[in-house]
Amino acid sequence: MSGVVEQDARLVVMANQIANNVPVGRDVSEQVAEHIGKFWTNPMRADLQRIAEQSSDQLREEVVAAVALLA
Amino acid sequence: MTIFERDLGTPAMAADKQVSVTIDGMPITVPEGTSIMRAAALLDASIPKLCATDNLEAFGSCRLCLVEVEGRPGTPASCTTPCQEGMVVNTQTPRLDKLRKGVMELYISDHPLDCLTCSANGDCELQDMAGAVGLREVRYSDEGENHLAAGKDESNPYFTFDASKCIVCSRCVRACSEVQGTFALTIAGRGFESAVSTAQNTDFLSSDCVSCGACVQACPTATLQEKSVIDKGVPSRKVKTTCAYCGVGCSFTAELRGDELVRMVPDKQGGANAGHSCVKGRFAWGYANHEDRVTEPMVRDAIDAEWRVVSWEEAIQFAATRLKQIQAEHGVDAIGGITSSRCTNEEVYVVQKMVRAAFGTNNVDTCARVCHSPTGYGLKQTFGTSAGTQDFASVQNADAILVIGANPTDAHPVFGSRMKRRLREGAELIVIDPRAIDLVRSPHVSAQHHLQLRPGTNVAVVNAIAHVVVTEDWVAREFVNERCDVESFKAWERFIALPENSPEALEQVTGVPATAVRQAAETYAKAGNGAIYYGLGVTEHSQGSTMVMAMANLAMATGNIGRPGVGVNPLRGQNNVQGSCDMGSFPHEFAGYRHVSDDSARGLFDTAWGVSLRGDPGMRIPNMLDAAVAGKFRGLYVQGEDIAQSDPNIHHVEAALKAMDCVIVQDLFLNETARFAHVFLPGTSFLEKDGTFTNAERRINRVRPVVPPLSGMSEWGVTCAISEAMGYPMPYNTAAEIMDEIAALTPTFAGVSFGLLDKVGSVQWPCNGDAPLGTPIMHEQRFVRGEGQFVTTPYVPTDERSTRKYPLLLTTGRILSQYNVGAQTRRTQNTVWHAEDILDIHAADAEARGVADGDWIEISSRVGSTRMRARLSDDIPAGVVYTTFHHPVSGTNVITTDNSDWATNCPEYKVTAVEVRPSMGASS
Repeated sequence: MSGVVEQDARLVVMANQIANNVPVGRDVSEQVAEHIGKFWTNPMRADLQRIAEQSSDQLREEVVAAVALLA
Repeated sequence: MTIFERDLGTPAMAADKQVSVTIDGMPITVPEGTSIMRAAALLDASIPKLCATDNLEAFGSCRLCLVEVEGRPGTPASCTTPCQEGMVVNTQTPRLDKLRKGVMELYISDHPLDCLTCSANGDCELQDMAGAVGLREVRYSDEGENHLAAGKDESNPYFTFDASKCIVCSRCVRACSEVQGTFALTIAGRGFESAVSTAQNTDFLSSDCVSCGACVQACPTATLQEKSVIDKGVPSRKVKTTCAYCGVGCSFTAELRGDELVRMVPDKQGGANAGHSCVKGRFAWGYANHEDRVTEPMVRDAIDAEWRVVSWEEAIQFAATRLKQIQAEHGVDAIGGITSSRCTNEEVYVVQKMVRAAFGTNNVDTCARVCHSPTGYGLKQTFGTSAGTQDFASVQNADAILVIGANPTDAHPVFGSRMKRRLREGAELIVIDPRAIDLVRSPHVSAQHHLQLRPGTNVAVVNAIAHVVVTEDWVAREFVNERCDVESFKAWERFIALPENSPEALEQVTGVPATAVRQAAETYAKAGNGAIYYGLGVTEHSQGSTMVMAMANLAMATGNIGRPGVGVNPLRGQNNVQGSCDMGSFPHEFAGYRHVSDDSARGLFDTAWGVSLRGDPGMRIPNMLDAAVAGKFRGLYVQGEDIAQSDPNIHHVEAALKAMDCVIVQDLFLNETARFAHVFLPGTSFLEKDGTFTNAERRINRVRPVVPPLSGMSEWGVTCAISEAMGYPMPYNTAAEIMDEIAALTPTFAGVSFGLLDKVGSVQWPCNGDAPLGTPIMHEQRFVRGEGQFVTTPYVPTDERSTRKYPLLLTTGRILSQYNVGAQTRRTQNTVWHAEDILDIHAADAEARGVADGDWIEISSRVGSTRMRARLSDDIPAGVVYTTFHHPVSGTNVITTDNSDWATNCPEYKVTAVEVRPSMGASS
């Protein structure tokens, strides 16, 4: 697996894991967008956006929605 | 025993009531319960003594401290006689002189008269007391029965026990019991046969002794003495400084002869340790002068080339040129830095400043990423700041102590002793841990509740405890209504009361019987003062941050915040984890935990530093490593860390380091990471540093230079030189100036200066106009964020599950004698206790695999495998295995995975699915 593919795979795991773990009670997509906006670098966010556009099936739907909120 | 320090004979009393007495004609008023001996010492009317010392309870055995009390018959011992109102005491009378001289004569009659050649000559209380009572002759011959031929025990690597010089004062025995709490020593025999012995009558090395040094410090003669003093002689000068091992941050007096360090003695005035120590801080400082130290800068063009020793100027230019070249070719974000929790606040601050201001990126992270980053996240969300709530002394007021995922007696031993003292006094203990740590059952301490959960189910257990608190209506509603965000509480209350969070529902998940959870919940909630102490067994999980918030919820719901004896307390792994985080080492935060996107905070730094700083977060360590493998991240400055040993999935770390064009390592030794480095910058040991450390209780302590830097440069000076070579000068003249800048830019440090610390010893932040001498206990009136915030904490199982292929769960930890990756302790005689990492395995699992105690085994996970010896252990349940990571040859982190905490990417060191098989020997 190339480094870029490996990095993409890691971003997918991280984003899905955030969606899976944020507190209950508030909109998950909003919380994921907030978290990524606060802690991820701009290139990581851009990579996640690319992944969401090219192969969104790897991502939980709340993450895809969060990417839209981040745009 | 130690020279230089004043010893008042018996401990201070804390009574509100005062009593007035007259001693040798001098009036004095003292707290009720104060001994005559202490009162006299406060008047500088010191009474001769041998069995008394002021960190031990009075014992009254040596009969040297006799006094006369007017109106009373006899000559009571001043150490065991409390002052009473109106008492008139005489400490010097002809009758007392005669009695004391007679007592001393008996002691000396059975003591070698070799003072001139004795290693304690000039540092011996027996010698001092013989002089104090005016003993001039001994009428008893040495032809009678005596102990002068008693043998010497030299088994311990750091101190000797010379029984011929023992006066059986019991100070060592009492120190081991009262101060350390190990009970390794006793007085064997009766009458004339009485002698100090280990509890099992073995030599010291084979005994339960943990080599804390309390007995050596307590000994008034040369009986228990440091081998370094025997070898080098009695020290002649001292420097107060701070230990560089765990997050307790003990204060020590470094005692020297000239510029040679002779011994480290724990400081009785130390706010964190109050005169106690452990085997690491007390004795394991030899690494500072180890032959492996590299003291000259080195560079090389490629990692397969030979190192070339160069001047500081050449090394700094080499590093700066390479970093600038990388940025020119790959962009400003292609480089970054990692700060170290082993370095001072000032050293850390300048590294993060260099990265942000000189490199022009926020790609700075710290080794706390792999330990307590979830603490930062979780406590900030709930309480408003990333800090433990209490001082260490608070534990003395706890009624129930909840220890979760921590092993204080091994990893934070001096605090562990303080905790054991409180437990011996009657506080109840709840341990939540897959392992039966020492606290579960040790002499005079046993846990009322040990919730031996399956690794990875912390959140489920604490949710279940909170479920019981809520459904049994044990919530401290007045506290919640007054101090917390009520809407968040209501949402949490509804969530936690769901049947899915009940102990019964979670029993199958956690492996903990529901009744045990319910009993533990009642103990914690109803104790009065419930205190939570936790370690990396909480944070190093995929739900590390969730777990921190779950504990904070529990503490708030039960009203256990904001006073002595309660709180949520992270036990930090390294000496300056708290400080390195405080100093702005995280890629999203400036010093004082202010987000880089906060315009007002960033504006302050822009103005002070004269640059326009970035408002977007930088990369965390795992992000840097991933980007390096992808070819996007090419240069790294590593301050005092060994990521090629300490970080998980070492194969991945090594691939990332190999892919970089410039790795700069600043360290004492050519560590594992240095195998991939292009520049090696010699670092300084704690004995050479000038600055401050901040311990787990937010206590800022001075680190003072004991000897000059072996490399000729301070670490902060080297960082500043690289920054200047990169085009951004940081012209500090002293470490004190760096702290002044930190104070000016960080509200919680606003009152901190070297001048203040030198004056008062230490302070706990926040230290500012509102709290000029610091803040021992946080959130007393209000939380830092205003109202305490409850956060719902759904339990989400880790993806790392045991399977048919990997049916066991590996968890990792550390032991008393070694420290983290062992770079320091492996280069000391501490290896006598732990020469290699061992895999603990339950007998049933071992038998099923044909593994016997001591066999070599191969342990494999889905990312790698390694080999080590096995040890059958009852401390862990079947299905769980445990090992340490102190020796690089063990390759423990070859098998830990990339799984990490969802919020912070703190690695999930504590849960790795593995299989164990017999093997023929060690890894090649």
